Amino acid sequence: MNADAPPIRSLQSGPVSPLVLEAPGAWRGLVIAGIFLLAITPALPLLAEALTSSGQAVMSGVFAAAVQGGLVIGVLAASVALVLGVPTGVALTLYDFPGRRALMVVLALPLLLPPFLIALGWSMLAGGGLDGPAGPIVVFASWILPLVAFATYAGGAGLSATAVEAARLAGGERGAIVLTARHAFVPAMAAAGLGAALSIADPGPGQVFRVQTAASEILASFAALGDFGLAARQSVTVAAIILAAAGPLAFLVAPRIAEALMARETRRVRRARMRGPRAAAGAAAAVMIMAALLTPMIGLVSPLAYSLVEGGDLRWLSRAFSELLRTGGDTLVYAAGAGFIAVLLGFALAVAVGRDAGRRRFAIAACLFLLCLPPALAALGMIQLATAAPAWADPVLRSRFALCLTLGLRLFPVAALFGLRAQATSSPSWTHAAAVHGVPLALFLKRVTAPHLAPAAAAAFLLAGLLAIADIGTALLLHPPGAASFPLAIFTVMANAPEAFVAALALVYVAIAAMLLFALWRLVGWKRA
Amino acid sequence: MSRVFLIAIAALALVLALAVWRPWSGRDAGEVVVYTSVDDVFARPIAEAFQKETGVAVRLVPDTEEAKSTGLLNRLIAEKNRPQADVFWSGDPVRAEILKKQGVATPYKSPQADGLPAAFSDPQGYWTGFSARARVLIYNKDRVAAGDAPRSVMDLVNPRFQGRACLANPLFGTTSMHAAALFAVLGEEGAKRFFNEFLANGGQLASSNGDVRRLVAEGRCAIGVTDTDDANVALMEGKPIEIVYPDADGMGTLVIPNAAVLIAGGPNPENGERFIDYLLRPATEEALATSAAAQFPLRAGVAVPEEMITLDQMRPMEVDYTALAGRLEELNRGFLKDFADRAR
Repeated sequence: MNADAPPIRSLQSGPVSPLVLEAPGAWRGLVIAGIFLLAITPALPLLAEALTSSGQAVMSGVFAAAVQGGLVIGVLAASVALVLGVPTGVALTLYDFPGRRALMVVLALPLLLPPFLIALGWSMLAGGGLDGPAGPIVVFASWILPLVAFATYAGGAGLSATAVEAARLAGGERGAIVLTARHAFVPAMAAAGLGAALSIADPGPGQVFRVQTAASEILASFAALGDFGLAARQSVTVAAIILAAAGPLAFLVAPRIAEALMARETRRVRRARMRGPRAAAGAAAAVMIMAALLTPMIGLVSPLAYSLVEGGDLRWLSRAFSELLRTGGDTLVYAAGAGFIAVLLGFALAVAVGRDAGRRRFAIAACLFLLCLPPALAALGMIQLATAAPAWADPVLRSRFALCLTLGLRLFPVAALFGLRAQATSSPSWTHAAAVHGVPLALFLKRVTAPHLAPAAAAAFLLAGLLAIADIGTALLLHPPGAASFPLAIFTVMANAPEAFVAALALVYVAIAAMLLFALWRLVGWKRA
Repeated sequence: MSRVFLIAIAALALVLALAVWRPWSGRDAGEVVVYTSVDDVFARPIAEAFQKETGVAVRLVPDTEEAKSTGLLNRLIAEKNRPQADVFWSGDPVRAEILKKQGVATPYKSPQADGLPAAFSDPQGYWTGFSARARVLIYNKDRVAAGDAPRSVMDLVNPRFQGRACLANPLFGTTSMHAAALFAVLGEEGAKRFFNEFLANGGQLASSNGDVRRLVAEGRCAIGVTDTDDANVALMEGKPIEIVYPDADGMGTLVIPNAAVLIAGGPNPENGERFIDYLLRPATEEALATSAAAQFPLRAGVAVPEEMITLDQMRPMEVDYTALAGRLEELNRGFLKDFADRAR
């Protein structure tokens, strides 16, 4: 427990003991079922249509090939991200080098960008060199890399200082690196799996690089054929295939997503400042992050640079700032609202799952399934629900909240993974000690559980918020008239706007987001990072 | 910790309050909700001018022709029973016609439609066409000599452009409408032959018209077919391209008028009609002609930039726009889907 946390007062026995958090109970199943039911509710109208309608066969040769293509791209991108992201995360965990904090902010940038924008950046730089599967693999790998690196970092940070020091004494730096990498590998794999699932549902990069994927086939069914039933059947098919493929991952990850910390040792790992390893780690992390993450940004903003160099023309930047002023407030509301809902549900799920490996396996598998469903399924379902509902429900179903809710329900599995890990790192002895001293459940939740889960909740809130504002498809369909988000504004102008204007929008977006991330980080405190 | 916690809770409460607060108020005399598939950069200045002139606030919901979303058309259809939109300003008449067929549109014959050619509007008044784009050929001047410049859409299958021609995915956007028009003009066999020969000639399928513009401007394709607004943006950026209005001595150039649609049961029908009236004015046609959209007026006598090709200077392809929508739905499920699959 945190050393400066206030002491738990010994009180009279309350109506409910904290032991319910450790004991089995029917409430766990009810909460888990309730949360998953709520998450799938927006998609239910179309899923029902998919099950009841009879139409074109789903598994045509073309669709089967597209599914295979999407899976191969997702798996290869996740593998590349794993190979590059784990060493990056280990370097950030073990070594303190100059610019480390700034690099961590830069590392988060790709998560702000919708993958199609990253794809355009790469495409502008590489010309036709990345056409074919290589393009989407590069784009998704650079998009998943931060997820893996942050998961590795979080996993490594869960190691006790004593363990790292012992490994260092026994095996030198190599020993410490191997220990950290091994310890963080399972969360890193979970992050890679998560990224792969999200990439399989995203049609953007496949279209930019002219590759047929399952997501682009589903998009064609939705947008070109207008056959929602077929699109829903295709979506369920893809999700089921991915679920089958991800089953072993869920099986592997669930029991090892976190091992409970022993109550006697929670001292954090101290980052090493030795000159040699620190310089090497810093240089490697910097090269990795700059090469993989800043390259597409250079492609995106180069037209603006040309415009500035040639004529010193600042009008595009000025227009981009106007656009930011118009949409910035709504963007923040969407990010914060979706992040909050995702964290609320994700952490409630984590508490309900508890320490049971079977429930954890089910929860992780169900989370992956939900993430694989295309966002349009829930968005169109939400429109149908709102249209059928009476006008008094509009503040919930046809407001900014509707978009926050839909995004939060879509992204709660991301928060759930954070929650599952954070919840599992609590020690059962805390609960037992509180129960022995008659601490009521409410007080235990307030004084012990909430502070323990808070850092993970903050990280999940940030990640879910970032992913939410990058989800263009849902925003396009659900944002209230006149309340577009900034990425949506970029998306809607990019087809015909001058390249320099699109570049200015991308630059302003990333710069402002990076500053906000930086400020938030400072507010929370560097020491936690 | 507790202070930070309280601040966080207060901030989240504020966010949720803002989220539930509706930024527009449904049935409100002072506003109009406009969904548009016209690019934001072109539609917003017109909406802002309307707002300034009439005092009616415009809530604009733009879409894009980039084929990366399920689009506003699906949103409009899904909202049919209790629409949020008053007007759909469509970038092409096919999507307007689909709304008519789906029962989303309601007839409105604007007094401002005088002078607009009837051939570009729905005879029953469900949608009214105004300022138009055209489907044009663009070629890269560095890769194609002026003497070899393409003159017809059929040049996409000419062996001299083997492996160097590109076309956007015909399942989406204005290319889908162009494909349906080619089927109407060339006949079933002729159009199928054209698309099949395009593939046999090594033609490339781009993700959108903007992508075609980029591929040609970068020289990765020598020629391509796109819309006049895409081509004009490339010219304004100084890209080495040239525009050709195709088939001037043959089947003609496909003209794509904007279409103004009044939504049935929209929350502010009177303001919706006012907005449509505003769109159909000669002054709006002039504004769209002088903007980067470079949309030529359908009316005669509207002032346009000197270099603009107007309707009376080209040979428009003769097509029945209302018939194209039905044809397109059938083609999308059949030949065009198969073509797009084979092109990958």
